[in-house]
Amino acid sequence: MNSNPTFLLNGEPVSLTDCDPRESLLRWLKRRRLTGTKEGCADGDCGACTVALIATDCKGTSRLQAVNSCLLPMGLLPAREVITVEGLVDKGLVDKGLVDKGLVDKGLVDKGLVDKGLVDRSTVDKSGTNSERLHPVQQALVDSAGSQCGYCTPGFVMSLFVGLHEDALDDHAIAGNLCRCTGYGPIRQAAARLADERPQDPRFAQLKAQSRKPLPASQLQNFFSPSTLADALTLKARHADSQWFAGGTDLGVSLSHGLSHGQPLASVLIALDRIDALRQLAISDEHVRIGAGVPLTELESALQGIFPALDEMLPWFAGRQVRNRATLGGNLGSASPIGDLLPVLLALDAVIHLRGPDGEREVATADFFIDYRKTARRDDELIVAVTLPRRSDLWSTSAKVAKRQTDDISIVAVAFVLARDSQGRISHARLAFGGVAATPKRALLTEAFLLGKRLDPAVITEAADRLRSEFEPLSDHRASSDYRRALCANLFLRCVYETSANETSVSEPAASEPAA
Amino acid sequence: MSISPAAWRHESAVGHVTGRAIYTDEQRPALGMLSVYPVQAPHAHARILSIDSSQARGMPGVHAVLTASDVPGENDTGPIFHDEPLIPADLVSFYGQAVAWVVADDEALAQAASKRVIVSYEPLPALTTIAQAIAAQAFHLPPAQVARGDALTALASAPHRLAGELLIGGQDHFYLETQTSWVEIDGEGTVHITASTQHPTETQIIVARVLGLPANRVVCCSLRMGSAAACAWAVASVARRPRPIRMPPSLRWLRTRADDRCGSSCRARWT
Repeated sequence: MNSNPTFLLNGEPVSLTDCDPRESLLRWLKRRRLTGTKEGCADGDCGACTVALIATDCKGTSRLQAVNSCLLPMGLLPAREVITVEGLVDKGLVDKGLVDKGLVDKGLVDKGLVDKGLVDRSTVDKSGTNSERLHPVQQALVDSAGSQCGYCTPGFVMSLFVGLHEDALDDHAIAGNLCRCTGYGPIRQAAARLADERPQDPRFAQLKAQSRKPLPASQLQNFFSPSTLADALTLKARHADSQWFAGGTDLGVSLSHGLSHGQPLASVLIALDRIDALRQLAISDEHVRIGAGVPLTELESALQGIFPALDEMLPWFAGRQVRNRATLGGNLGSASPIGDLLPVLLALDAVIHLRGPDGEREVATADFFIDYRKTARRDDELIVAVTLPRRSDLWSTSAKVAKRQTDDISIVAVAFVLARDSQGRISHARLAFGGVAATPKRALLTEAFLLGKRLDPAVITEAADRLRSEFEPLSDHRASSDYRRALCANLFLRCVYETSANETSVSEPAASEPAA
Repeated sequence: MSISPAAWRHESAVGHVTGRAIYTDEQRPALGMLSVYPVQAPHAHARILSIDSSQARGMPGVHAVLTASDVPGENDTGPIFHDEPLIPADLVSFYGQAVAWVVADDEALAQAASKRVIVSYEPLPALTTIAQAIAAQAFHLPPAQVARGDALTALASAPHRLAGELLIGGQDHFYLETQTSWVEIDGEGTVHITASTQHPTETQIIVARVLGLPANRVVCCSLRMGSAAACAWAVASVARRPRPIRMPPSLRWLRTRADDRCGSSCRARWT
């Protein structure tokens, strides 16, 4: 392993020797007086600390990725490339000969450049010099009056910057960024203008196009990033007090606060994001096998259209910065009762593949959750993949209700899967819920009630009534028990009726089928 | 497409989008500045029986633990009504209220030492809902009426009447920049406050009141704010303290989001 680990910060190599591997990149930047990256919450909720990572997939293709620097421990950084808001302004105009260095040295303004549109007038007006040019995203926000207090602005700049260069400038690009005072209107106008004009900045296109090798294994003190499964399992066996670290969107919060659900974190962390075997995605006619380390944004694009319940949940799982890092393995390993993908995996009969010192075994998702954050995984085992069976006869959907729509913890999340036989009777039912018990759960009683019945209005109403009383959810600061019960019933009604209004395939036998 | 003419641009816009706009905590506080951290009450309503700060004060790097008796001027920070003690002397009136402040070499140490301050409380009944407060006739201020004409008679003769209750749930602001301030005292004893506050004048006046100084000995600057926080006076007020404890004349206070959420006395109904 490299004894002098470094990473690239805005193109410049920076040494990581002697750096605290558990300190967040956000705090590290702040200590280095790179204060453009802001701390609003240090929880991954507000997006003010958004930076761009260069992520290279297992095929060697690089893309820019917006991530929350508050959730990124320094231990993950060796050999990575990071761009912060300080790296966006093009300072190279002098080098390119666009600006006369003599003029700049004298603090004089080259008015010709303003006229040519090469330099933003406000920069000229402000500094009296014109040796730099704002990135098009920065310019668009300036022009749209997209900043007021400015504290959230660098985060929006970085989310839009990645959105522009990755051709993904929809509202979801900024769903992980909170603004308290400017208002989203001008920011969305800037985004719309950028999506419309697609201005290019060749510096970052070139940066993406560079060929890169897979990230090598690395170690910063007690923070390990192995590059193979075998090495990961060896490290786990060697360090009794150690913990897996997947995308870090949950554990990263714990690192920020020093505790993980009231418990101190293990003294050794083993990061999994450099292991190619965990990032494979295999799609066949019978099933889809998802590596436990595939980031959720990659699932979103690669699996689109295969599992509607998954498609519908992923955008609401969290902001894009979190989804760029979060993984199925991490969601399963954390096993939170409000892990939003867990009801989906339950409803789709996912099988979980665990690898330990004694080899690999499979566990059905239904058998995986044992108690509050307790699972069938043994401490020395690693979740390596999840297999979802494909069935063409299934209707599936999902929904999530939280206090705010984007980037929030759910009150109740649901995933429903139904199939009917040729007579229009329900032959397969999976009604899975998060936020109603200590673990994600299926409504087994209501599922049994539905089997063999047609989804006529009386049955739908009766099923909803049964769902209202099938669980005994907690009352907490997010919602009361009664509200959660109401959601169990009403989300079922909504999903069934919305779908039947669109397709007629659920509550009515399809028109093409012969009447029974 | 240009949405607003260049002339209308925010004067700080380029600073905002490039990350060069500097906020309170990002200015360069003097080297050797001490940090403060509050000891917060775990009760909504309680009598303070005693505060034992000997353990905390014995920790290396801890300079002082300040309580109500250390306030040199009027122990009150209410901007209009003088009903908010800076540090309560005997009565806790909200959960998370700071009953003592630890002054130490850095934030981590001040926070660690705050856990070693032993406060003994006698919990008192707390009214935590509007209904309870009305039942107990416990009003925050005497009820105020705005009256014109004879509303009751007019209502009694109205052809249609609607009756009901309206509950307005207050919400706490999610300002992006957490509350932050720092203070230096110059060689002439003038208190210089740098704070993330939308009301520097109010801060100046309250700090002067708490310190027992004329207002012209207190200066408050706010370069810019991350969407409007306040509360600088807490730091400023502890910056000057009675002798004999020696203390470098500069202090800073940076709140994390979690501290910020539970230490605010404003807009209390968080549902």
